[in-house]
Parts: sequence; structure tokens; C-alpha cells
Amino acid sequence: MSVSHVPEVLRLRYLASLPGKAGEFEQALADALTSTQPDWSMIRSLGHKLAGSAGMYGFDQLGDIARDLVHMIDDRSGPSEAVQARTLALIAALRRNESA
Amino acid sequence: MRIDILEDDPDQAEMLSLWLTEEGHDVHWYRSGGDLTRALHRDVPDVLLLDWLLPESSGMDVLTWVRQSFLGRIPVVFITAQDSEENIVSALQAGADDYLVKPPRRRELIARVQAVGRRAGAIQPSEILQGTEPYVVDVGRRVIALKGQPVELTSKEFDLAAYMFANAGRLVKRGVLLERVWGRAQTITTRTVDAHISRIRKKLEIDESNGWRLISVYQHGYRMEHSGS
Repeated sequence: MSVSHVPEVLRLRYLASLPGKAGEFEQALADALTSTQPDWSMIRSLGHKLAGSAGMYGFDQLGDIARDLVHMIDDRSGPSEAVQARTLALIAALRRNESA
Repeated sequence: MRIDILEDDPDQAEMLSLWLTEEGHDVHWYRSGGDLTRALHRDVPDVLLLDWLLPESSGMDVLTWVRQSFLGRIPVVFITAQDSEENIVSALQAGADDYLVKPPRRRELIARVQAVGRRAGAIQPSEILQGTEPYVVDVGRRVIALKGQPVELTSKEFDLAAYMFANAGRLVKRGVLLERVWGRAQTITTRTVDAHISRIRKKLEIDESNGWRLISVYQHGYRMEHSGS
């Protein structure tokens, strides 16, 4: 997606918000894993928001990972370990962008 | 157009607002269905842009309420990360006029919002008078711009200015202006015409520097002409 229509000041502000988003995912993952039957609703909600916003600010890859995560939760297409692994991958991607 | 956005995520709302504001729309952002429905009792927008998943009531709840309320056929565009065929069909069957999957593409979003606004009559197609430079007189959208900047005019001021531009070079009698701009039935005096002419001269800066004159022809009327002619 073209980012030519994203003012630099807004893109940088979004970039600066990524550590906070990574932290929210980490907390939500920790909370989800406290029970034997993980509750992915918070992870899904965060992923849903990220899937919507990341591409608008030019972070297409983050948006794609977030969308995959949401689909995985919706479809129950994998075991808990798979959702957990995808969430960790998303957190890592958020951290990578943060240092970009 | 006035566009109301229902979106709980500030990041997305900010970018949507920016894109639409840049196109000249009057954008109002609401974070919850409750905030939006309260606002809809005060002001009715030309287009509603609804997110689907929200913390309290969903965008679908708002759509259902809008369709059952006094608001009637206000155009609604869903914009959501819910991208399944089932969701899209549900939204359209519930009365949405269009559906965009997040993240939206800027030009597509603008085009779709403008298309539903146009279908609802909120936007008229552009119809620009020729030979009025440096003015752009768009009688379809009822806007006059000077050197690219829209000039704020009342409805009658626009009608009067557009009529004078459309008849540039001709002497237009005050009585004709009264009839064409205010209508036969109106009990308006020619003094009102003179006052409006004076205002559009000032607001549109019709003078030598912009290459136009709006001259008064004593006891007859007015003529709009190029200052070089």
C-alpha cells in the first residue's frame, strides 16, 4: 500500500505507539494463558484493531500478521500453541518495526 | 458533505478523518454507538461510515437503529476488518449501501463514500462554466473558487454570481436578476439586488487584479466583463 498520503508526523506517531501495542499483546497473551482453556478474546480484539490500522499507516506486514491471527482465532484452525506462536510472531514484528 | 464516522480506534479514525477532510468533507468522529446516536438527534450527516466491532453496541446495531428511526435512507458505508462473505452479505441485507474491508485504500474509500453520497443526492456532478478564469464556477456543486480557493457565499450570492458569469459580456437588467435569482413571487426590491452585487464583488474580489469587472450601468443593470475587454 502506498504511504504517500500518510503525513510523516502521523506515521512517526504510529511508529512510536508500536511498543505500547506490543506490550498490550504481551499482557493479553499472559492473561489468556492463565487458564487451561485459553481465552483469546482480548488477543482477537487487539489483532482486529491492528489489522485495521497498520496498513493505513504503511505497515502492511504487521496488518497481514494481525489479520492471520484473527482468522486463526475465528476459525479455531489451529491448536492453542499455534495461536500462541502467531501472537509471539506478531509481538516480535511489532518490536522489529519499533526499532526500524 | 457532512460525514459521521463511528470508529473506536483513534489511529484509524484519525487517518479516515484526514483523508476525507482533505477532500473538503466535514468529518465528525464518534467512538461509540451511543455518542453517535445522540449526535444524530441533533445533526443528520450526508453519509455514515460505520465500524462493525465496537466495545458497546456494534455497527450493525447502529445500522438497524438508523434504518428503523426517523433518519430513513441516510447512506451508510460499513468499513471493517470483518471480511467474510457472510458478514458482507449480512451488512448489505441489513441496509448498508456499501462495504469496505480494512485497511481501506485511500482513493477507493473516497470514491465509494462520494458515490453513495452522490446516489443519495448529497453531491451533484460537477458542471463548470467555461471561460471564467481565474474563477472556477461549478454550478453543479454550487461552488465558486478563486485561484483554487473556494469562496464562501450564501445561496443567493452564488446564484447571482453564477448568473452574471454565465452571461458575461451582456447587460443584465435588475428586473431580470430579480426574476432569475429571487423568483417572480418574491417581494424583493432592486435595492436588494444592488446590495448582493456589492457583496459578491467584495467576496469574490472581482476587480482588475483578477481580470474581471462587475460594472453598474446606470438605470439599467449590471454587466460582468473581462477587465481587458
